[in-house]
Amino acid sequence: MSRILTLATALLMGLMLAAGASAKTLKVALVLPGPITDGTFNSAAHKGIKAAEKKYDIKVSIRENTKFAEIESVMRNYAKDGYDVIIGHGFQFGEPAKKLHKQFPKTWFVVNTSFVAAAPNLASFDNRWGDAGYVAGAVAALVSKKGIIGHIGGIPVPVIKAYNEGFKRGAQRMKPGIKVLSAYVGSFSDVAKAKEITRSMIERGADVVTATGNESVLGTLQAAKEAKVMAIGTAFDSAAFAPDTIVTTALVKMDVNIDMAIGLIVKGKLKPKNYVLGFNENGLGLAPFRKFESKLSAADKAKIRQLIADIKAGKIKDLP
Amino acid sequence: MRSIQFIANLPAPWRVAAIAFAGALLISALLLAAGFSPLQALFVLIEQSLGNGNGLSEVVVRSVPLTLAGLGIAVAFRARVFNVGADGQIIFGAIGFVGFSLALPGLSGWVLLPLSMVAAIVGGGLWGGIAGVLRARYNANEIIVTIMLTYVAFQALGWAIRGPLQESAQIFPRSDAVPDGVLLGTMIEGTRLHWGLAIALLAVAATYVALRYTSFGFRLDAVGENPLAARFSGIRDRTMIALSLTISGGLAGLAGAVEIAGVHGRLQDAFAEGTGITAIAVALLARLNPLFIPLTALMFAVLSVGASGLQRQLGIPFPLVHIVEAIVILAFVIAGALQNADRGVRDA
Repeated sequence: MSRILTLATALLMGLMLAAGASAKTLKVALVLPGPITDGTFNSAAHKGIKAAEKKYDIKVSIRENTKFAEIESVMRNYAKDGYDVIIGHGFQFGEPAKKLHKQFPKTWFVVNTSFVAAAPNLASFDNRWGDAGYVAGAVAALVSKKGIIGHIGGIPVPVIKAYNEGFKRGAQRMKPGIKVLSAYVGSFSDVAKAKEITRSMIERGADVVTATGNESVLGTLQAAKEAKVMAIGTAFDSAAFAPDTIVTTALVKMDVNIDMAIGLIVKGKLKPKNYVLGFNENGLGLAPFRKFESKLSAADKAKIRQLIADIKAGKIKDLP
Repeated sequence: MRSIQFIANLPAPWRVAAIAFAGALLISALLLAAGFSPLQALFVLIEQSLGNGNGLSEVVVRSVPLTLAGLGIAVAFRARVFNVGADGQIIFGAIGFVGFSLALPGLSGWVLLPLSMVAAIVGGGLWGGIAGVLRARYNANEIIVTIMLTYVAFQALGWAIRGPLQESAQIFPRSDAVPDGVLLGTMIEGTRLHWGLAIALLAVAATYVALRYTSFGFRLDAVGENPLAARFSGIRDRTMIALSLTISGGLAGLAGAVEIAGVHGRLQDAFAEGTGITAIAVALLARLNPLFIPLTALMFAVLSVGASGLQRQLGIPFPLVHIVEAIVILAFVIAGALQNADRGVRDA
């Protein structure tokens, strides 16, 4: 078996070499703020780049755990190394990308979760996090028994604020008068602090929690798992981490953004503009309920389906 | 233990070679175990740092704070005072610099920049000075005090950028950008090479002259060689000890300011991570001679810049990159410490 594989690989490489003469392999750098194992924001990006790697003729370098202070030098080094595409995954990459993009006209700079597009070579992608929060809030309100739910955000960047607001409004829509708690960790990566805040929310009576951020989200999922309280994941389907407590995940499909960005560049069609992806563009979604399938009533499930259909049809007017 | 004794008893060049060989062996084994080729890693490390213009300019940029902090450490070590808390002093220098320049944004850069630099030196100097006074007055172990003060400084930085100095947008844990007037411009367009290099070289010259040609330098060495003898010959040894840590902290504070003014433009977490610790190796390897410090700083900058290239080019995960870096630094520290032991530096 393995010999066949080796042979196949060798053949494939031969073919690629032959093809290489005509089409140039695109060098793509993905610069991440956290580890690819955070079960949310960075995991989603990793999934996207892996999918793109299979689909297109690209060579990928991934830089994890990029601290604020390092962003500029990391992006500059990739540009100097001749990378064709540099993807900054997060709002904080917007400013350094704006500073750098004109110095490297041959490189495409792509920034996720921000609005920084600028001619000629800086595009940005954003998902409608507010809509994701809205659906998460609706689900939380429907499954909550005590009528208290909570969101723990990493750092209040625009997309996380939007999610927070959507979470409140979606919950109110399903159960007017429901109590929605919210708090920010002040860090994307502080697992312990996120866990502590989540625990205090649970002590205040919250029986459904959700979180946005990087590893900080793990803190919330852990606290919920330990206290046997329901949780709603964000961005990346990480139900396997705590199948008994994770009800579902408000998917923010940044894998689709990344795939789309690279696809457009390959075709030479990417424009220096802000792309915004919602449910209609497959940029958002809701993960399966799995173990909670039987715990939600058919009526509630129908309400959620209807809500998503209404969002798609533009019928919901109080989306953040 | 016996093998360490064995290495320590070797003649100097052999000893360094033995340590280097052991370090290289360890690194190769680690890389091989993780499935990477050590030779390729070495090649990439050198190519990324010395093989192109960008790498070279990044190396020089990295060497600037290492030089300044290394000078500070050398000054204290000359008095046999071990400042292992330069990282904390760098932070307080940066806080002084950013706090001062943001408080008086109306002033022209020609006035504000030097004043803010002075604020940074005072900030770092105070932080070093605390340890200095505790050592001189109460004979508190300066190694422990400077380490502990560094932890305090890390927390103070975290508080400053989430509290009083947080950006007006109140989103990220970082300060507002400092006024343009206090930024050190780039020396070569398209690189990050900034005028902090000139400041560092001036500091090298000033420190060299102060240590070599002034009575201050002589008194410092006298206290370092034998504090009691120095005291009986009329040198105020305690004052010298407190002063050495204050100056040491001041230079580290300047390193922090230059890093902000030249590279980051604002206060944020981890803006000069690990600089203070690496600077110890820089100073030891330069045998505490200010003139050699920029050279050893460049060596460690090559390592630091090249190592980050390992991750980009070969996908070697960061923890492994940091381990490799740490092994090299450790090997140099051991070599440096053994060298200094020959000269009779007191046991730490």
